[in-house]
Amino acid sequence: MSTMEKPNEMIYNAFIDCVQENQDRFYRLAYSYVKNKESALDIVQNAIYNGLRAIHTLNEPSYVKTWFYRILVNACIDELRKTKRLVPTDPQELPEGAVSESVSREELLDLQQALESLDPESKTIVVLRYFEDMKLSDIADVIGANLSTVKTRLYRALEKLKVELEGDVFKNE
Amino acid sequence: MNKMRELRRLYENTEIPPELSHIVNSALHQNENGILKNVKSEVRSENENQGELKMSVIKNEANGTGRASAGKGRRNLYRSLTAAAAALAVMVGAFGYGVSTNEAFADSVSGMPLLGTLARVFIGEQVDESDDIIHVEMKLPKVEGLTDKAVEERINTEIHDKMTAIVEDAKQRAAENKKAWLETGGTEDEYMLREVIVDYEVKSISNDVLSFVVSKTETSGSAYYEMYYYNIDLNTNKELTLKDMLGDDYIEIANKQISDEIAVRSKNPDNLYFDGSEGVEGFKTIAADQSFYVNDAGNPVVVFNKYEISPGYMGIQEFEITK
Repeated sequence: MSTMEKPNEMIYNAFIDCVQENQDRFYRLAYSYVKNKESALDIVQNAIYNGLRAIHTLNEPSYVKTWFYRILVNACIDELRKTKRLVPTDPQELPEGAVSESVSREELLDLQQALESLDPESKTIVVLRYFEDMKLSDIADVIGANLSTVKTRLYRALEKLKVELEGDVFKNE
Repeated sequence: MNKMRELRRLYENTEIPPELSHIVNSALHQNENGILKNVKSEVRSENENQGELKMSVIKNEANGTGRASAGKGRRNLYRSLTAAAAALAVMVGAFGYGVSTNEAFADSVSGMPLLGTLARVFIGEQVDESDDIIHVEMKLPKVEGLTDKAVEERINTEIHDKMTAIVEDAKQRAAENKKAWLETGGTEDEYMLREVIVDYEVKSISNDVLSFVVSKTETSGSAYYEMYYYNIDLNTNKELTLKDMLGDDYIEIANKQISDEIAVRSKNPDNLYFDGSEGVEGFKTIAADQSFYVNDAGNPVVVFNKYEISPGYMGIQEFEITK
């Protein structure tokens, strides 16, 4: 297969598969920004359109996922900037059974609110690292920053969240 | 990292709406032809079966309407693969499957209702305005696809009129409030901008019922909610009542289940419901015009606003009622 052809058939396949396989993840990520079902669905849908429109710029199938995350995260942050909505988190939004014995409901709420109050880029780093298990180098690609910037921002964000570091932050790097 | 783990669990518990896969698939599909047209036809086969794929690509190029035949088969193939061997699919791609799988799968999905064939709700009107008194964000739903257009029109008009009036009212109150604030020595800098957000959420949509809520949240320090529920029987075009859903004994059925559930939830010391002990009467019975929506399981979910049956920190309280 010639690598000159764009969009490359293999990349196109990888894109379709990637989106279908990870659609729940993508939705959850979008929802974590906008906290609204309709907006999150809109964002995922538009990110797919935009992805398909720009897919010819991609030349390596293994980048598809990171690349789509980038489109999605940009769309989420754009939406947040547009609406600038502060999302109040009321206690009833914690699903039942969400609270374990070791962490109190109040602690969890505090932490959740602290996470929401981070700037969107820092929040993105925390969410991708801890909820999506993404490597820091991939996160750097997603948000278009270099690795050391990502590390610094992550440290600063965790400080704000007052989460104790256990030394496992940078494992697998 | 214990707290982070808990937060992650919350994140992972985000409810995935059932319409997501429809939306994702139609987004992928709508662009399919346009993309395929750009693919050069001399894609080299790396094994025999890929010839099949090559043919469909060419076919798509030859007649711009390839969507119905080849395009559809391709997409369905992806879906069957995704379901059967998700891990394998990424790099291997769609190669290696015969035509028969394709057709069988195409048959099995062709009867599925696609987005747009059903009644649906979409953003019909959006207002975003701000001044030094109030910030208004209004996103109004519009219903489409009901078999009775007159009912559809009535509902859409009602939503528009009602919510516009509510926002106007909020603006007026905010203006009076600010005037009073300044007259009593408050400064412009310290004035807390009032915020009014009108939004909607589709609770469930099936072949029989469309259920959604339009909500108004007014914030100045604390948040106050107003919710307007619409539960439409798509067969009769009538708005559903609890009686329609639960039968003649609906009051007793709902009251019993709500009381029982309150008792269960009250076992958690974090949960507090009014019980008359501090002079505030607790839950006694559902109202004649009790708010409810219909969930994905097709059951009514009775909703009580903040402060109605419990202290403000408990927020909005919901109770699913089963038949």
